[in-house]
Amino acid sequence: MMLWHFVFWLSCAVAVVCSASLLFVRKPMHGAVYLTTAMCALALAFYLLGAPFIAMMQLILYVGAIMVLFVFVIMLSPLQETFPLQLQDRSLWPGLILLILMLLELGALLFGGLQVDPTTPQIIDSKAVGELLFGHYKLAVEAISTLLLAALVGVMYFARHLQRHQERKLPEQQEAK
Amino acid sequence: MTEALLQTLAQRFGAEPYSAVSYVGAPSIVVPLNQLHDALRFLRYEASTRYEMLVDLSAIDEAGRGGGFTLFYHLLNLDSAAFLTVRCPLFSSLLEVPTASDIWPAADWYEREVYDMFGLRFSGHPDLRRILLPDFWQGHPLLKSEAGRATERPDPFGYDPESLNKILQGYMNPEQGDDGEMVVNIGPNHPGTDGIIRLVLRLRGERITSLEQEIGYHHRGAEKVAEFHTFHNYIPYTNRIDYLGGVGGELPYVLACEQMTGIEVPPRAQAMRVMLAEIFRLSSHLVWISSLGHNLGAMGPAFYAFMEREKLFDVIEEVCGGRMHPAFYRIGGVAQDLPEGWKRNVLRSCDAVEERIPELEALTTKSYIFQTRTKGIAVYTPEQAIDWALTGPNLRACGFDFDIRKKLPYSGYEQYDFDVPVGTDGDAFTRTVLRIEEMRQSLRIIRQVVATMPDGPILSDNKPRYSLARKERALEDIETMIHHFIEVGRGLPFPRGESFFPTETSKGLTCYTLVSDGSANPYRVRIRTPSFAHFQSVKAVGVGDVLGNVICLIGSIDYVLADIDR
Amino acid sequence: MSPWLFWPLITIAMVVVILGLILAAGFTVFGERRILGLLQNRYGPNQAGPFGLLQAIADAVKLLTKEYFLPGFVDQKLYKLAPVLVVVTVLLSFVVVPIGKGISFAADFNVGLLFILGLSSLHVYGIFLGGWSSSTKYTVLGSIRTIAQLISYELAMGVALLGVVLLSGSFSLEDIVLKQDIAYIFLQPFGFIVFFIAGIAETNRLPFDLPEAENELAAGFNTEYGGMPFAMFFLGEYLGIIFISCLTTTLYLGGWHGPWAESYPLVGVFWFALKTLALLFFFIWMRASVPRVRWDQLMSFGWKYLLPLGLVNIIATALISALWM
Repeated sequence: MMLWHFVFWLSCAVAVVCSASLLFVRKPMHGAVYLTTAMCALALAFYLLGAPFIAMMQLILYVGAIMVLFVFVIMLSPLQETFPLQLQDRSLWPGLILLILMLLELGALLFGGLQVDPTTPQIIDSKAVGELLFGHYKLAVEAISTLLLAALVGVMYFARHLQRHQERKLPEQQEAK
Repeated sequence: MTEALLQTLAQRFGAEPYSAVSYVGAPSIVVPLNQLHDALRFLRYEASTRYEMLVDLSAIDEAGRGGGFTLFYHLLNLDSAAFLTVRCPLFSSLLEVPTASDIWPAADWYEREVYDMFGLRFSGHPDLRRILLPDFWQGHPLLKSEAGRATERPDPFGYDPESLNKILQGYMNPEQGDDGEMVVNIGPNHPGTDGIIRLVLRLRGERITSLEQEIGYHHRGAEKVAEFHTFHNYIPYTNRIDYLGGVGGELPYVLACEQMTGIEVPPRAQAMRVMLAEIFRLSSHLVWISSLGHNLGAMGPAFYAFMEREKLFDVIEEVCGGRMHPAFYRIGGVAQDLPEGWKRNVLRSCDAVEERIPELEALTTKSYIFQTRTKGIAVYTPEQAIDWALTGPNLRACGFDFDIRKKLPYSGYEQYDFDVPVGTDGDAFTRTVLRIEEMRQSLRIIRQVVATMPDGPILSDNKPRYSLARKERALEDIETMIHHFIEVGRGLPFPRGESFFPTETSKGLTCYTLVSDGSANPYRVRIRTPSFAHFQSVKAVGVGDVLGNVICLIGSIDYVLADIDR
Repeated sequence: MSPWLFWPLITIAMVVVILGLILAAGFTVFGERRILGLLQNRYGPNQAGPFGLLQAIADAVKLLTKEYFLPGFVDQKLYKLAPVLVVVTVLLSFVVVPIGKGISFAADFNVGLLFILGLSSLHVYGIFLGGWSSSTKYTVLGSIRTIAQLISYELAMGVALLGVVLLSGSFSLEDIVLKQDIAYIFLQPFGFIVFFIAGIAETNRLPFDLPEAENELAAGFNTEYGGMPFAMFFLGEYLGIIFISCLTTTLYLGGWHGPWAESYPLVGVFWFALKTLALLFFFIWMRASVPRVRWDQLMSFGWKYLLPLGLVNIIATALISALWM
């Protein structure tokens, strides 16, 4: 159906435009909102490609958890302005070259026979994803979860440490005043 | 005060007993300015009876009594409930007085008030600014040379653009700085402050790193107003000082007047006074519990409490004619006798309140969330309680068994059997429990008064020279009517003298210091209110806590704006 | 059905449902005020129409006719976006709720439950963007609290839902209802508790209404809003309450199940409405009875009690279903 084609390509376009606009926005919060929009558009694209579970995970995890943390940090940080992209800055050039290379590769892939057809998708449901994750990729999942656990412990340690440090600092400040 | 202490003071600091005019209410000594600071320090830390609490600090402009100023400090020893007045004569306002804020932190605001009202300066004071009046105010209102009416002042209306700009600038706080701290104004208009008051908080996240209070939005110059009224006519102002306390605020004033003149109040009037004062204590506590509940987000208590308060007001209205501000007490007694059927109505209202108290408890002290919000929150240590001159339930929550009604009974409180609930933890929860228990005790007192109400006159007649002519008779014969007319209009000259009277109102210790120069108007009325001291202490406890707890703190110490600003 | 007939019909149905939901939210407000009045010995609105029934409409008209203003210091785009986001996400969530046997838009959506979770995280964006874009301190504090609350409770909610998914073996709400021969509240009592508490926190209702704690933060995140945008926040809040009630009914109380509901779908709608109303009453009851918890208490409750309880619940459910089924 034409409609789904249209919706699919539209969401892809939205994702690309939103991601690209990240390079030019001035306020960090606007950037965060653009990124969120890009995530939502990606979720839609995933859904139309026949992966409803991944689509919803995209929403819940990226929009609901990761971006929220980003936003939290942005709100707590005193920084108000960002530095928009400036081509004169030489340190940006390697990154740009890589970007162009990647775009070329993508083009090659797209025009070289990769078929993206949202109308006749092969549906990958949650069960399939689960079976793959806890079957074929079991080791990877375990490794990642261990890594996350380590990160969690590390963060807890740092938080405790910082808190103690601050508590020591607070009375000193009061005395100074 | 023991003779020994007096002698020590005389030897070490050249102190002498005050003898210029009669001073009743507390022992009084005069200390010269150069010894004042040492004497105060001695009295707090070394004296045989330690006067550990600074109850009040203010001044008298002596322009009409020989010039200069008099500073006076009311000190209190909690164990024996002994008051002591330390006076210090000043010959000129140019002299700097050593600050007492290093001895009692509570002196901070009192000294600022003296500076604001009299222009007296305190050396070593951490932050000597105006407190009740705006910074650009011209003059010092309580000086005798100042006009008593706004219309007599130069340009009394509005602000000039410059001052207005300055005020507005005061609200423009610096934006979020690099240190991640943020300045938040709570007030002047804010749902959590129960009135017009301003807290400037510096927050790191939700934790408060510094806190500054701004008061004075409600200042009506009650002390200045008194100087332009006769002793009798001032009564209606006194119940508007603590506008929830009703006649409770009139009591210390009329008692101070009676103490000064030697009027003896007949027992029936005394019993009526006690009954009405306790009814108002109940009503004030009911409002308090509803506003604390509201501050913590509970909707329920407000409606239940106000319903019962309405029933109390029905009784008040029946007895006094007024509701919140009855102006019912008179110097020498009360305005009119009890109406028919009052016993039944009073008891019915008491029963209604008593039945409601368990419901209020269920919504507050017995509610798990309320407990987690108040237990161990906004804790005053006993030292802080004394330093910051807490009184009333707030002091008792810190473990001090101090209630003037028990320790220095007035108005016949000694005849009634009641307990003074005392807590130990000094937190918001204890304060709540204590106040609810106090409500039960008040009910007990009211029931005893109802049971033992004596017969007899309701106005004294032992000092007709200081009492108004009887109104009932003024309506019948022309002679009394002329007397009444003239006495109400011109007032009755009261004897020279000074009088100090502390009472226990619903919020804490309310004291009136009256100075009479022999005319019909008070020469100076000083009103010591508990809310002023309590609100000052917010700074001591609030810093380092989180925002939600500060709302709980200011809700739980029970202040009334008019009581702070007067 | 041909697409030329399908789309107009669907559009009409959508409009009807949206209007119905908005009315329902209005009457929830009215009902709340009346019930609070009843619980607190006062009247509540009783002047507009019989029993004050027209109060909801009067309120709506009042808010609609108010001047629309834009404070000068706000971040304009986000300020305008936020209320829309709040309402739209909740309205969208209703799409997957079956209110009777076969009566819904897309109850058979194969990842319906995840869809709801995703939308609820978007919903929160509306609230905190509203607070952040107003750029005053109270609203920003309200926003920070919103996010913290979201992080703590979204997780607990998801974990509680897993129990239901384990039992029913499906993310589709229709399947979940159909599987509930015994309402899941009996099979998943702890899951129910965790889910419902998290639901109260999600909708910012007492005792978890910290983002708008009026005694601390004036009105929290919506302090700078007035007129229509404020009405939309308000609508969003009450739609949220209705939605959480509907969802709880669907997941734990057997949805439209009840006597004669199998044969007459409309009877099912009645049962569904009845259960939902009971939950709505509970929401209002809570508001009348309890104080607000403190911010850090809310967080520690979420992380230290609710989440572990939810996790234990899943493990127990998984073990039991693995051993018995």
